[in-house]
Formats: sequence, C-alpha cells, structure tokens
Amino acid sequence: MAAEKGEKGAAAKEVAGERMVTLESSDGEEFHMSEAAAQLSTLLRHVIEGGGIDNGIPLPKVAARTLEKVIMYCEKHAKAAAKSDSDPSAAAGSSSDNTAAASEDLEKWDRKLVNGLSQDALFDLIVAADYLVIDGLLDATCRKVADMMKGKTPDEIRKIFNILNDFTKEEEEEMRREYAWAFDD
Amino acid sequence: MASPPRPPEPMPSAAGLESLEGLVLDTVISKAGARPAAALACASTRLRAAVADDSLWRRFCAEDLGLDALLDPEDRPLPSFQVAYKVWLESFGMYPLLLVKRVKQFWSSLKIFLSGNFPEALKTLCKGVSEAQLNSAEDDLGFKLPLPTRLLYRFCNAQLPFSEDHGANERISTHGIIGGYAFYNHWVNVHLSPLDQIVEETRELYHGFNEVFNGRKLIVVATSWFRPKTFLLNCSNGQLYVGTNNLPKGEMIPCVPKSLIRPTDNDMPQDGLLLWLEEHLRRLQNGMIKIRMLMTSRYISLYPEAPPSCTSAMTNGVKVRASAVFVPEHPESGGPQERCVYTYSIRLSVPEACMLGGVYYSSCQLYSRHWIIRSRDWVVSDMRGEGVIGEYPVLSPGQEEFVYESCTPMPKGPGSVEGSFSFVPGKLSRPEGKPFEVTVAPFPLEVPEYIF
Repeated sequence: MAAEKGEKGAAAKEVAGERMVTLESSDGEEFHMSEAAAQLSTLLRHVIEGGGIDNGIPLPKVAARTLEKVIMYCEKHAKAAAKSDSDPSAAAGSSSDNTAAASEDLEKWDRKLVNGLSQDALFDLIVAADYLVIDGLLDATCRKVADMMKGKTPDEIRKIFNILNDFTKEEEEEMRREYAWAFDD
Repeated sequence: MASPPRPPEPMPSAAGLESLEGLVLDTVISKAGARPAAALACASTRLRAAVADDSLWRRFCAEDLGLDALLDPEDRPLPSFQVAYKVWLESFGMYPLLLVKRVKQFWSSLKIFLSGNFPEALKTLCKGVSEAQLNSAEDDLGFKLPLPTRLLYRFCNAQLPFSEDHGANERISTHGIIGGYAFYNHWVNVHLSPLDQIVEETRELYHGFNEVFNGRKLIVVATSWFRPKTFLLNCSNGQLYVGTNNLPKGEMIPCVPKSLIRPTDNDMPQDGLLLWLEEHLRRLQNGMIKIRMLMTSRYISLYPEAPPSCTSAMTNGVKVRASAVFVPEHPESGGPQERCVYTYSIRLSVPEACMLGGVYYSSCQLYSRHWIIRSRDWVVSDMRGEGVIGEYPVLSPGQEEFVYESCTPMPKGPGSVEGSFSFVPGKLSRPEGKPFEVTVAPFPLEVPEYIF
C-alpha cells in the first residue's frame, strides 16, 4: 500500500478501520504499522501526537531487517493488549488463569523471537528498542544477552561476543585477584 | 617495564556488546547478575569500566545479600557497593547466597524487634564467630554442624553465657530470647547458647549419659535458666528436639514440623534451629507472644495472646482471656500413664464497666472458680475451689489485667479447659449486689507443631 506523497491529511491512513502509520528505515524501505502498535514506542507515540507525519516517519537509525522485527513485536503485543481489554471475563477477575496463560504465551513468543536472531541482529534490535523506547522489547532482548553471559568465564565471554582482550598480563593478574570471589568454587 | 599486549585478535563487529550505550549495557549487566558482571570485568578494559558503575553493585548487594548499607559484616564502613559485594562474598561465599540473605535477614529483624521491645535482651547478643572457630568447634564435637546453624552463628554468637558472676547471671536471667513461663515454683527462661557453651554442655551430656547419647551427633543449643529445659539439635537429620523430664534416658520431642527440614538442600538448606528461630520471631512480630513482667524484670512470655490458642469471653463487662503452653520438661510429665503437663495463663479485667441488671458497679471481686478439664472430649476433671492461686482479685474498670498462671497434668492427646468464676459486685467484705458467674471460654491444650 503506497503512501501518497503530498496529500493533505495525516499519513495515518485507515485500513479496515485501523489507523496506520508509515515508517521509513535507514536504507529507504517503507513499512506500515498500526497506530495501536506504534503506541508501544514512546518515541513514536510522541511523534504521532505532535502531528506532522504526513509523509511518514523517517528512522535513520533503524535498518530495514531490524524495523521488520520491531513491527512484528509491536503488532503482536498491541493485539494481545486489545484482546485482554475486550475480554469481558477479564474484568470479572475470575479468569486470572486465562490472563496468566495468555501472558505466558506472549513470553514464549518473545523468547522465540529473540532466540531466532543472530548476535548482530540481536544487538541491532537492542539499539532500536532503546532508541524507539519500547520497554518490553528492550527488556526481552537485554535478558537474552544477559542469559548468554551466565555461568561463563571471561575467556568464554570474549569468544561468544567477539571481544578483544586488551589487558596487559599484569592487569589480568590484578583482575583475577580482585574478582577471585566470583571464580572460586 | 610493562609486558607487550597480546597478539591482535579479529576485530569486533560494529554492533556488539562493547558498543552498547552505557544505560543499556547497565540493563544487560544487572539482568545477568554479579558473577557474570565479574566475568565481564575481566574480559576487556571497556567492560571493566562499564562494570565499575556502583549502582549495579548497589543492586546486586540488595538482591543477593539483602545489604543496603555500605557496611562490612562487622558494621565497619566501606567505600563502595562494589567493594561491599566483594567483602561479603569473601566472608560468606562458602554458603548458598540465598541462605546468607535469609539468615542475615533473620538476625537483622530480630535485633530490630528487640531494640524496640526488649533492649535488655538485645544487649545479650554476641558478635558472630569465624569460620575457624566453627571448624574448631566441629573438631571438638567430632562431627559437622548443619550449614544453616553454622551460618546462624557466623552472624551472631547467640547470647551471653552463664558466668562465675552470680550477680551478672541474675541480671540477665529473664533475658532469654526464646523466653518461657513461670507458674508456682516452675520458672523457665530459655537462652540460646553461644558456641563455646554448646561444646561444653554437649560434652557434659555425653559424659554424663554416654550410653544414651554416644554416636548420636546431638548438640545442646538452648537451655533454660531457673528450671532445666534443654533443646538439642540433631546434626545428622537437622531436627531440633526438646528434652522431657526423662532426657537422661534419651527421651525428647521434635520441636519443628518434620516436612520443613531439609539440611542438605543445595540452594536453600534449612534445619530445625533456623526454622524454629524464624517461627519464634514471627510470633513475636505478630503479637502472638509478648513481653511481660516477672516481678520487676521483663521476659518473653510464651503464653499465646491471640486466637485460636488464646480465647476470650466477656460477661457483665468482665473479660477473661485464657491460653495454655505445653510443658515437656515438667517432672510430672511422662510416667507410666504418659501424662502431659500444660501451664495456662488467665487474664482478668474490666475493660470499660461492670454492669449487672442495668446497674454499674465500680468494682467486683472473685471468690471462687469452677474448672472443667477435658481430654479428647471426656471430662477428666470437674472441680470447684476458692479464689485463684490463693488470691481473690478485685477488678475495677480500666485497670491493667490481673494475670495468674497455673498448671494441669493431662492424659496424652488433645484436650481443653473451660469454666467460670464467681464474682460479687463491690467487694467480698461489702458486696453491693448478687453474685454472678463469669465465663471462661474453652481454650485448647495440645502438643503444638512448634515447641518452644
């Protein structure tokens, strides 16, 4: 669905009753996401509220493949939120089992999303989530990286994250002494 | 002269861990935890700098250790939370951290409670022992102590021991942190024993009753001042026991529900001593047991103050509260009929006014009692008597409760006591109206899950 440039009115077009937002990635590709999904990003929410998005929102810091994942996350979470809002039994509180199961499913979906990414893609997604201020996505992606570090020695961490060891031999000795408490078993 | 840097390794990619912006990297590190943070710090200089953010260590100290002040285990000040984490781990890293946090929390909460409610007892608590002292005690005993007990004593070496100085002993005699009861001539006040006293008293027990205790890995952890009452920790299975009158023959009763005892669990071991102390603190905190006066000294009284163990009834404005405590060490307990002895405490008062037939009286006086004692719903005793413990208390509106204690032996099994008191309005010497009965609501007598 092409955005019509120069047309008066917001680029927030309606599709099947849902208002849409147009986003442009750093490499010039156009994406569309529902306004409801865009609201998950504090940055986008402010831009939309401030108006002036006639020709779409440019995101020079976010590449296409990353933006695609961002939109997937936001659409999924926006739908889930809409579903639980419109669920009549949710208000009664008696369906706490349902809401617990639903949020567990959502967590599973999040984990699947981050597990399927290469390390590069994961870090790009973290940077994007931080820039766009999407708390849930930042949380899920950071947690993934954190999990990758658990139970690892400094050497293993360097290998996993492709890190250069720029310590001198003396410095390494010093660090080993300082953090002896962490490595004694 | 500095050594040459390492040979070059492949360049890191553009979007990588090290190029994450400060706050984001902080988020990742705080989710990973303290040990991964340490590994990161040793990986590169950039990561070492990121890990040096003290707000990260403040969070690790709070979450992992329950530590929110810049103090070392001996309350000395420290320069940063990063140093604090290291110092605490060096001191306690040989224990599961979850347990360290839990035991630290216990002593801290107990001290706060005592500070506000029983500062005299707080003063009897001693500085914790070292790993070396614990190892030495284990050598003396010939067996190992359960991990939770070791950790309890690392944080606090229980209370001041008996000493040669009788005056000093007398001054702290009612300051046992477990507390007790006093009825007729049976006074009990239980103190938690410091490590040296544990070793000494355990030796005495083994020496005195060798056939019974030899090879059993029991230690004496708490004892009563005044009448003897002994608590023993079984270091094999982690259960805590109280000795009955027949302790010399090895007779003892478990003090903690068996299902809770897990002395060798990897992440959160718990033994009878820890569970017992924690339950005791909970009861102090929620007011189930309170601090009362004994003559001119304060002590922790074990008589329950709240339902269901403590019952309450009001008749004509006269309130009677009643509760009982199991007394395992009493000389009259046991025997061929396997009797149990209970002590009970009755509290009488007129909270607002004593009213009878529309008339208010400024006082009333007790002249007789009627007690019915049941064992498994069978009446085993139904007696009347004059006064209570030889007294005929006069009650007036708004005055403090008149409290008295007594005891009763019982057949084994759950039971109850109920009854009534006869009062006259005014005074016995000058009654102002007709006598009336005041109900004592039935209160339970049963061997509890936790015995203190």
